[in-house]
Amino acid sequence: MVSAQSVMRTLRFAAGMMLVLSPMAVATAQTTVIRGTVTKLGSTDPLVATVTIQSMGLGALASEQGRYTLPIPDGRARGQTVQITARFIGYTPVTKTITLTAASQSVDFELKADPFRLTEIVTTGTADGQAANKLPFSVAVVNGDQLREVPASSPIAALAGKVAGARIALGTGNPGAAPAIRLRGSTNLGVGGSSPLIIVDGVITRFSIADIDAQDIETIEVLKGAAASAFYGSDAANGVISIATKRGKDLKEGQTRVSLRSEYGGTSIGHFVPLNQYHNYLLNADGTINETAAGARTIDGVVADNPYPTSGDGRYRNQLKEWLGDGQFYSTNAQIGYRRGGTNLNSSFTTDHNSGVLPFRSGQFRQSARVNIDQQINSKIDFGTSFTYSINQNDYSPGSSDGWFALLQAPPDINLSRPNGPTDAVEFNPVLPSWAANARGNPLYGLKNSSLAIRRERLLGSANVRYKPTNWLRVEGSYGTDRSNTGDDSYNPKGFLNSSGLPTDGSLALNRGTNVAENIQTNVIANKIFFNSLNSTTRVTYLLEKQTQNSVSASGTQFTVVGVPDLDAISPDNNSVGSSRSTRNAQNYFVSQSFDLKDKYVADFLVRRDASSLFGAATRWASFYRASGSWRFNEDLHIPGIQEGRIRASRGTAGLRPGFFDQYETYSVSQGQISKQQKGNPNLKPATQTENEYGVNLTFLDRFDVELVYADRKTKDAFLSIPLSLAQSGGFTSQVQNAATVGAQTWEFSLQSRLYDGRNVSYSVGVTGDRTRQQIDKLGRAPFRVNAGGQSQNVFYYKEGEALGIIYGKQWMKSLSQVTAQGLDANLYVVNSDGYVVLKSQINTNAEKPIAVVTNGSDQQIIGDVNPDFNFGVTQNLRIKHFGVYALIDGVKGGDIYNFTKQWMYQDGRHGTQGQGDRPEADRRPLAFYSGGLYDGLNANSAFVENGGYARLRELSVAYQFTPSLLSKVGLGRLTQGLKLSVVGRNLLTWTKYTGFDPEANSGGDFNFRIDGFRYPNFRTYTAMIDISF
Amino acid sequence: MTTRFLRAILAPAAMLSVAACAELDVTNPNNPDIARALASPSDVAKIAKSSVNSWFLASTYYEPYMMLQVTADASTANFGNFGMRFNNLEPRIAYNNNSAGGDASATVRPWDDNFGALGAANDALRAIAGGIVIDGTDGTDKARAAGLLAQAGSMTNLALLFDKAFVVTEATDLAAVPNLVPYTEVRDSALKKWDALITLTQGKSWTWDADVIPLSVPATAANLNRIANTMAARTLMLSARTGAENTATNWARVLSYADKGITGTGLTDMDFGIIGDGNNIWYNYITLYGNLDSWTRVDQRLVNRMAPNVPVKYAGTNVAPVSLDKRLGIANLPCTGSGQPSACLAGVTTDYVYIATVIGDPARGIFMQSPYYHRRWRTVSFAVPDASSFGEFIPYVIAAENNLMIAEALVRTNGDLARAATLVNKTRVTRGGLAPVAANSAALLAAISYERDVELLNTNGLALFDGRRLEQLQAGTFRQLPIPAKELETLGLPIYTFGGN
Repeated sequence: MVSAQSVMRTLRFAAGMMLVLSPMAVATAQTTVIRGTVTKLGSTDPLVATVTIQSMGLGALASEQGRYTLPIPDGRARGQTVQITARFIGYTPVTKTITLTAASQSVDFELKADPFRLTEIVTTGTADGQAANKLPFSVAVVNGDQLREVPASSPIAALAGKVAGARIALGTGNPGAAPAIRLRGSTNLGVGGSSPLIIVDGVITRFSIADIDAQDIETIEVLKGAAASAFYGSDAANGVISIATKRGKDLKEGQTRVSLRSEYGGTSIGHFVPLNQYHNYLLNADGTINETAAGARTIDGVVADNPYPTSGDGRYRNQLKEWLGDGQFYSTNAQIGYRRGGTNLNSSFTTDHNSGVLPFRSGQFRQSARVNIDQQINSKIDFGTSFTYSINQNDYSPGSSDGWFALLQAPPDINLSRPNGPTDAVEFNPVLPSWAANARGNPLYGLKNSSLAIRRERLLGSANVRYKPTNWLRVEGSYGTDRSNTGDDSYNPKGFLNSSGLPTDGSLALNRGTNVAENIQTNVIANKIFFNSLNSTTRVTYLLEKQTQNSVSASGTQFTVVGVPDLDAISPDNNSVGSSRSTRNAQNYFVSQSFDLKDKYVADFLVRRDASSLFGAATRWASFYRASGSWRFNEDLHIPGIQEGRIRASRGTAGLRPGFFDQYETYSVSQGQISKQQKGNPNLKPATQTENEYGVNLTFLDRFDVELVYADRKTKDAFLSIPLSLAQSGGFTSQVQNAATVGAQTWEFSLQSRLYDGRNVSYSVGVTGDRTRQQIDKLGRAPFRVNAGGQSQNVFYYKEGEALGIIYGKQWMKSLSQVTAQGLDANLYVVNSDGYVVLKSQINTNAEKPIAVVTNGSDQQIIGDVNPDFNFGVTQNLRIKHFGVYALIDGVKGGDIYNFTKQWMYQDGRHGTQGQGDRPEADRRPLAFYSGGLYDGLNANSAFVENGGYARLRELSVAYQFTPSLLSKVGLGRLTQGLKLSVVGRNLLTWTKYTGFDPEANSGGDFNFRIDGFRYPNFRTYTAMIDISF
Repeated sequence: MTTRFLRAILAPAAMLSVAACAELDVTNPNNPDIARALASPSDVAKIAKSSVNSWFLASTYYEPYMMLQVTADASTANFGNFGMRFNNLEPRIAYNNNSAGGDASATVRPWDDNFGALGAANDALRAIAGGIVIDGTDGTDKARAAGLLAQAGSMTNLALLFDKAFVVTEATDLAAVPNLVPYTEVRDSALKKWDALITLTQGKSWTWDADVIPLSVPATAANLNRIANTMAARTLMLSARTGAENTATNWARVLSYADKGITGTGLTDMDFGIIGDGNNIWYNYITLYGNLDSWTRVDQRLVNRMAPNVPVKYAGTNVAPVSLDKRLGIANLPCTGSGQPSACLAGVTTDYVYIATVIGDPARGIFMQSPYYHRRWRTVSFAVPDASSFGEFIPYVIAAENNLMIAEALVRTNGDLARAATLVNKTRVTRGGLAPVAANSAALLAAISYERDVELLNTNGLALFDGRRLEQLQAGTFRQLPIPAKELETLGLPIYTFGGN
């Protein structure tokens, strides 16, 4: 929702850029003056607009009454014809042609609202900024207004559902975990290798995005693929996300604005994994479970349909609901903005906390402070800096799944706080009773008794100087740095019990990292108008990147004294140390040329040369290019009802860089021992994506803005870690090669609409949708199974010609016709009450098991495909007087998830579907059908492939905005200029058929690996928020 | 004017570029560069030494040896780990040779780890063959001996475990793809390398540096020579897949090696084992898990040999042993508590102990449970904290194994049966308290098999190797491992497996 008020308040970054880009020579001898007013079309409401004569490098800012005065320096008014333009954010700029004479003259402007911000300047990936409605390639823009109602946990999370072609998912709900994002399709065959390049205020970031406070964001611009991101060369095939934070440029002269926002609430799990409430152990007469002298239970029949006791120490508990508590969630953000003369600044401070849902862990605490300052030094030079400092602390690793494996498989009839009965001497004893030895131990002992302190300090800083020696030329220099100092201390005190319940002498592991990334950039930008209507922009850029990462670790395992978590307290025989250093350097040059003819025809060309130390020595330099064009056809065709129409096409190339270790032919050294691991590849070159993109943009009926894009990309020389035959490689396990070609085709649709925009009521809807098909066009080796890492089975399979995200395994027969098709005697088989074909001779016995389809001698079939039919996001904004409701629903249609958690839970009969007590007697299946048959030794099989489609109410806010007059009435008028109260929910509701915790589950933050394997699920947060401005 | 402009433009650009010229030739300071390392004598020596560690860990890793002991009905467990559960099912099923299954690592680990050790050993041996001279007296010979031990040892493991493997040595040209050959050829190649080590150490007086392997005896050339002989004898003897192959084994050659081994004529018995470093880089996973009561128990088949009143399969009822063998005892019962019997083991010194509790879910198969526990190597198991294994003896091939090899070879070559009986009685009488074995072939072979079962459990996981050659395995038990599916996929070969009915 873009209210008029918010537009007034937000003269955005783009406007700031315009001011800067239109050099304003402050004249001293003023003989000629152009004056006038700038108002909204059809009213007398003034606009604080910028008025410029671009060709002369002159500009002025209108007053609050909308009046401007533009002095023409002495002698420069010589009767020539010039174009004078008035611009204001959220309005379409108006350009008039005037003749400059010695006499002063009056030129008034009426600007028409531009609710879809089509004329706003997009800077990312362009030579020198380009109006959104002329862009020849796709740049998605999300602005602060769209992020304001529900502050996101990170800038990536903020994009969810708002950018077509951007797939965002929180593969885990760990507090502090950064969400995963993939723009359009996959670019490589690694796990988790689709992260785009993220630039914050000109700083190329290299470390966690989880440190960037989303509440500081002014705009996010997203380049989704090479057709746009060629500008960023060998690091940009995954796309580019450029974030600009608030700078105070939207303030009026002399204004200081202070605002405070605070949010407080809780967290809870929305949907629980169903747990088994039945068993097949012999019961005593009193309903307790019988135990033999050997401490064993006795099997009572083949079906799990005996109930657990309802009272006593061995009563049934839902261990998930019992232990996954409601957590705490808060965030407070203070902002101060200031503008006076040539100075504007914005500073903010945020503190937030997300405790998550696990017991005994308090989760993430984050503080961040930011200062952005811009200073105009004189008419030719200006200077800007940005600094962000943040501290992120956590007592549970954002990548961890500690506790989940054991908690999901904990027997329901054990009190985990005293597992061996009320007299158990050890609270949260790690050792469970011997009958429960197959369970995964007590998850709570470690959570309670071991400690972890993760701390990350982050500094993002940039400085830039712009020098404008002439009207048409600008030279810029900038420096950006991203620094991350990390530390984590994990400590088990002396006496900590091991999994056998034996007291250990404790352990301590300290890891420290110092990571520095720097980028230095020089731009020369020339901007000239030829033949009065051909605007030419040329940019030459040199960019240098340096990155070093150093880490040291020290650990020890035998404390000689109690209660001293210090390495000096460790027996010297039991210490070990390690260190790691890596350096990544790159030098890049590029030339970008853009032509804009009559504001209707835009052509853009780019050539870039990159060199990176990550490329093999023989292939150190690589070239990239982009060529694109757009035509604002309605400027020529004037189709009624259409306000703006544009067709565009772009082709570009962009690359991906290999990992640091990938090129070096080395041995591995650990604890002084030498061994062979990954084989280096000295011939690695960048993976290169070529992307063709075609788009149509249409604004019609003054209410709708539609974009339709088709992008077709091929990433050649994509990286693939190839498992080697150790025998044939001389002992190496794998090698990263430029082995694959990965293709992806994406359709993107987005619609912005302002269905109604009245004085008291407004309603707007935004819809995004995209469909991506992706496939392995070339695979430089025999098909193979992919290890997706973590607690997950290798269910995925890479095969040339097939899509990425294909699951291979056993396909269980579900009809007798399949039996016949296999050449088997259908009379021997029967379909059981769960719909699986089983042998008649085995039904209702412990031997009952499903039968796999066999083709060509193999029982390994395609059993699933994780790729959804499409992704979608819908945002709605409704304002009724001072009430506002904002909702974002996003999700995917289709696509499979492999529910590995469920499969593993089957082993011990823990999953809800294994309990038969609630089924009609005739339908009850033997426990072994699940725990043996379908479980199948953790082999991938069709029983655990589930539809992963979902729709999620990701963000909801209901807000009440107090007006200044109301505030005055209640006596708060002096205290505050604005007050908004809201209730906010995140992930409140999920509609899905998926039976696990969370349909966003994936491995390694990679959408190609939608496998649910005991990970920290996403959870709800619900908070109350207050927003005050002074 | 133009010049001034250019200067204005170029000066800052030039300053920035010069100030921060990026070095594009970046080295990797974390790991030794292969070409550089192989040209450095001290690095070559370290590679050779490290390959001994890699080999030892591969030889005692829980995959596949815990599975092999379970499927040979020596120990028992019902945990899904290490392939122990599904290859313990009755009736036996085929090993699930799938690159995705839970049991995949049971073959991938031994295949990869042995070829990893072999690859590093070959690198060092190739560098030495290429003329690298290692500093110090006998420096080159010592490094070569280390490389040879890892090379021969890895090939032995491959020959014993897999039906086929590649033979890769320092002479193999890796540019040409090697061929898969049957285990008999792998065995023969291993023997050649053991022979080379025997020759290299014959009559030498040098001692290995302390960082090669922390043997429980001095790492002298003479002791290595004995170890190499024992390992050669094991390679030859244990590679037989069936009773028929066992009969066909060149027992004279086994005897010849074994008699010069860690025990033998005119030699003082010694163990081939190591001294623990607190489970830092030297450990034996077979003892670590094999003597952890909450994971692994003793199969009643083995208990039944010592105490015939105990059924060969556990059926849910605890039967206390009436043991004929003093290596089996009874814990201080009742052994209750939270599953670990430290308290009830107090004062118990027998190798095997009846603890009268079972672990886990009977639904997985009651026969997978057992109230019997092996505690002989408990001091180097996960039943005690890591740090307490520091300085403790960790077995690999103990003296008894060599004595029993000599004895069996004597019997099978119609040799000195009285000597064979003496060797068997070394453990049978002194440790087991049993009556001395009669010096006849049948009694000796039975007693040898008994001693091997009882005495060698959880040392190096040889139960399946004995089970197959002595035809003691349950029907349907695999006798060797297939090449892992992961490797077959890489090689583009069809996937196959063994076992099942």
